Amino acid sequence: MATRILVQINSCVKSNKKIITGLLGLIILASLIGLKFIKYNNNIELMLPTDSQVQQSMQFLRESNFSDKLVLSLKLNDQKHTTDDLILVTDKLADSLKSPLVKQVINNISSVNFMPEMLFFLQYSPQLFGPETLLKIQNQLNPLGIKERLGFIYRQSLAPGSALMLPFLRADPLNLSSAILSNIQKLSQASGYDVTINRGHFVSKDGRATMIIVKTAVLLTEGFGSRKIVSYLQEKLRLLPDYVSADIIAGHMHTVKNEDLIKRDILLTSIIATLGFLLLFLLVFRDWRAMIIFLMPFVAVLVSTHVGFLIFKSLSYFVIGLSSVIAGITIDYGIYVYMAVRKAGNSVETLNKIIQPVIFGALTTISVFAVFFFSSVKGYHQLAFFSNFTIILCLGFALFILPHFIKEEPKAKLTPNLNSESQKNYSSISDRLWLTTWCILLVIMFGFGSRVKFNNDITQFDGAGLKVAKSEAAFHDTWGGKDLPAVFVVSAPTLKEAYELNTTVYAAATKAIGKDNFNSLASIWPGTKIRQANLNAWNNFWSAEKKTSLKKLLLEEGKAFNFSAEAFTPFLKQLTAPLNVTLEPQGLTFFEQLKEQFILEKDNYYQILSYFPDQEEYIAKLTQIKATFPGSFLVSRKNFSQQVSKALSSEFIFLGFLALFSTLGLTFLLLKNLRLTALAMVPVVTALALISGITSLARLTLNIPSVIAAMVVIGIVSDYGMFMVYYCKYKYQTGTVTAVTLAAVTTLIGAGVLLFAQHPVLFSIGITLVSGVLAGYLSSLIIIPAFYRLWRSKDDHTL
Amino acid sequence: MKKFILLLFITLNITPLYAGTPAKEIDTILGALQEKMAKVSTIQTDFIQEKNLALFKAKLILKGKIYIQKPGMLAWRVFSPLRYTLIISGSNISQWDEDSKAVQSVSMARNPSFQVAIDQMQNWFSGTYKAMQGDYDINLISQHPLKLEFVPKEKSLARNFIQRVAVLFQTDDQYIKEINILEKSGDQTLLKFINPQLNQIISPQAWEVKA
Repeated sequence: MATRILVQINSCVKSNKKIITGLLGLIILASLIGLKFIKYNNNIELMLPTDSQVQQSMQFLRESNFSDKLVLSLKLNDQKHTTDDLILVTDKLADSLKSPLVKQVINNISSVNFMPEMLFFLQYSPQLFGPETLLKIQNQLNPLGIKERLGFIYRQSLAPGSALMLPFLRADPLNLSSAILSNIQKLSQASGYDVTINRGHFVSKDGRATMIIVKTAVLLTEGFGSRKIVSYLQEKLRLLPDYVSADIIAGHMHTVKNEDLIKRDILLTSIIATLGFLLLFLLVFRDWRAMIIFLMPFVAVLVSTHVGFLIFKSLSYFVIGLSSVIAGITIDYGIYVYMAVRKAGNSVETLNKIIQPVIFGALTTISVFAVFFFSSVKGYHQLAFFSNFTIILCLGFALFILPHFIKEEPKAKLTPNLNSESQKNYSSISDRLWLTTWCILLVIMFGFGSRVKFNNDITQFDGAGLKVAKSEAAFHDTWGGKDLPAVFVVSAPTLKEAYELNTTVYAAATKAIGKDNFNSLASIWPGTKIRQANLNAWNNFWSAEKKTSLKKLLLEEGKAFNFSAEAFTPFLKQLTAPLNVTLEPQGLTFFEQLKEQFILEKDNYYQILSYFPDQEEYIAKLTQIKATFPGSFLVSRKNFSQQVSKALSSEFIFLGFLALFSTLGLTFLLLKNLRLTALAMVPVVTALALISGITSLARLTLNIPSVIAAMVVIGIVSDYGMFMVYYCKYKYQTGTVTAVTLAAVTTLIGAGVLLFAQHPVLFSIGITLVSGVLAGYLSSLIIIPAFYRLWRSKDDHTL
Repeated sequence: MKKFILLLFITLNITPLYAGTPAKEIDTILGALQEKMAKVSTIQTDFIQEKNLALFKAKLILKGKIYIQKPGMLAWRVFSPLRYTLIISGSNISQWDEDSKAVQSVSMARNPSFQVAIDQMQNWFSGTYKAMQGDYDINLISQHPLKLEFVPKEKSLARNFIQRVAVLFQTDDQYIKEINILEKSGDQTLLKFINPQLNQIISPQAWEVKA
């Protein structure tokens, strides 16, 4: 049946060779032209699992206020110029930033009403004071307590610059609000940056740097938009005077640089791979027809790119970056067919002899890639589709079209047991020596491999480069913020509910990790319920007698210091007419600025953020609290990596086993013998041992891309195992050893070029593939025949 | 029409009084002052401070001594009505008074508002007025004796608590004679410098907070 189909296809292609050639030419041309219209995607979200926590964190980061901001850090380059000169340049630059890409430029904040605003805010104190404050007042309401406080106020009036303090002392003679004021100060620094305000401008502590915040409509995940806004700002920065230099600090820079790097890597690796393949075919094959084998994966990758784009709407750079590897893998099928046809001629008989190992080889690789369809990472679905489509195209081309373009070598005949290698005399001693060496190597490599560590930090895949890293390091030196805080997010449908929830969370969180470690808006502005309760308690506390008593005490004890009767009027006003409870204080710029940092308004809900140190112990404690508040979540760099790792580790164990079992199953289906199947697995075991051992010895760490690459290695080297066992068993003279060697060399070229990649993801994949494929290839060529001969010589003639 | 002419007359006559001093002239004056002050490394002077504050029934009069050593050291010693000392050394502030007899230390880095007040004071005393142009509009009130008026600019933090400051110099322009600060609250402070000594060695005892 299969032979009949093969004959039919074979004769059909033979009779329509010219039409097929023309069609292929048209497809190549159309694909090349179409490349211009392909959209690529550098969005990291594509490579993250759809785990709810991970997605929640990503959505938060994408939609939060940080993702639409670029920071310009301006610095003085010489000692001659002053902070004032720098501020002038900063203002000029800020004024010049006028583009549809720029939504808002913030280079200064108004501090004009800072004091009146603070004094006004203190009028809300009765709503903000808890029972402990009332207790404090109770303890102070005696002649000694009041005298002590008034004495302090008097002494403060002796200090130079007391003008700034006296209004506060008059409004709060009992020092009840110092905690509120220090909380306001703490909240304004909660972002983790050291910013001083000089003439309303953001100035570094040493006065030698200023900051401009540029709000843009471009999200940092948008590659094209990011490039436009970054270029626009770079153009403006080029106009700065010589004595000022500037850096752009933003996620957009990473998007642009990563895209540049990966494009450069794709170009470089493609050129090197092309040259490698060309050299290989010109030097080894010395047959112009062999060029077709090289063209085959090239065309398949081109077509797959278009089909993939049609299905997924945009293609991940990560997947495209792996195209040279996929080309290196898929070229193997062409090589196997080419070698067989050259040796034995283009006949159905020849194809029949190689079709099984070639198809099963392809199937094992397909099965390994196919397991990625079971992954929760959307980017891996693209990888699975792209790879498998390319493999299927190449396989079909290799089996049905390629043979008609290959010329048979003179005097080539397909006869069993005539393969030159089979005639060689191998001593069982040398076989045993090889096997012993192999066993020792496995033990050593697995030994080293057991020490290898798994790195789940996703920032390791950031290829933004040294320049961006240096700019950011300089930025952190100047402005701090290196250890950015983690965020506790509460969500509610209304602002009022969000404030209430935030207040409850604040109480629980500060109990768990302490007030100093949890910066929440609730520390200065709790929900209405608690503020109303506080106000009621305040009004109840200040009975008419108590008010009179306090007024009298202030007057009597104040005489000693010559205080006027109106000295503390601002405070006494609060006793008689405290402000009503409202959802938020109105008309206070400082509060609006805090809201910008702490509250996110969404379409139909509100999020209030609180900040805490990004440390494991706090994350662990707050994770427990988070669980009791539905809709709340934590966002932290460390936690995020853990979430990704947690979501992917169990998935990858499952996928890894699935890949291994499908490979084993297909190998068994081909060889129909357990011992031969085990033998075919030698390259797989060797490759995994070497990958883990070399990763450890090179002091590298395992990561998700390298695990993916290891799975791909299983698919590749199992093919070598299959072919070598098949060859050992049937001894067909189809040039198997040469074909496996060439297949390994081409795969190594495809994978090896990734060692030239600067992007950490591609480099990491390159290391794994090269060590795995090399180990798999050598073991299939040396260990499989040695094992086979020893087993056969012993007792098992069924092998 | 008569009213209009009268208004025009008043406007034309009054405007020159309130118009800012030409920037070039002020720059020259401040440059000359700064040049003089650059040669001064230490200042020690007696002072009398008269405070008209809403807090007090009557004027509060302080008498004491100020020591300044560039860069970054300042001692404010009040002898009457109460012994009080404030020492600034870099970013640290120490206070002491004879009532509490306690030394209180404050880090300016942790108290930005305190830092603003101290920075202002150091600028006034050190005569680094050119650097203050960013925060203040500076007007020349009189040339002989030299008197300058400082009005906080719109975005300046000082505008929160200062309406204007008038600085009167000694007849030889060597150092300040008086600083008159009108606060936003209406409080007023007049600081008179008596017998200022420039570039004299300051006794180490001056920097002892309890002395």
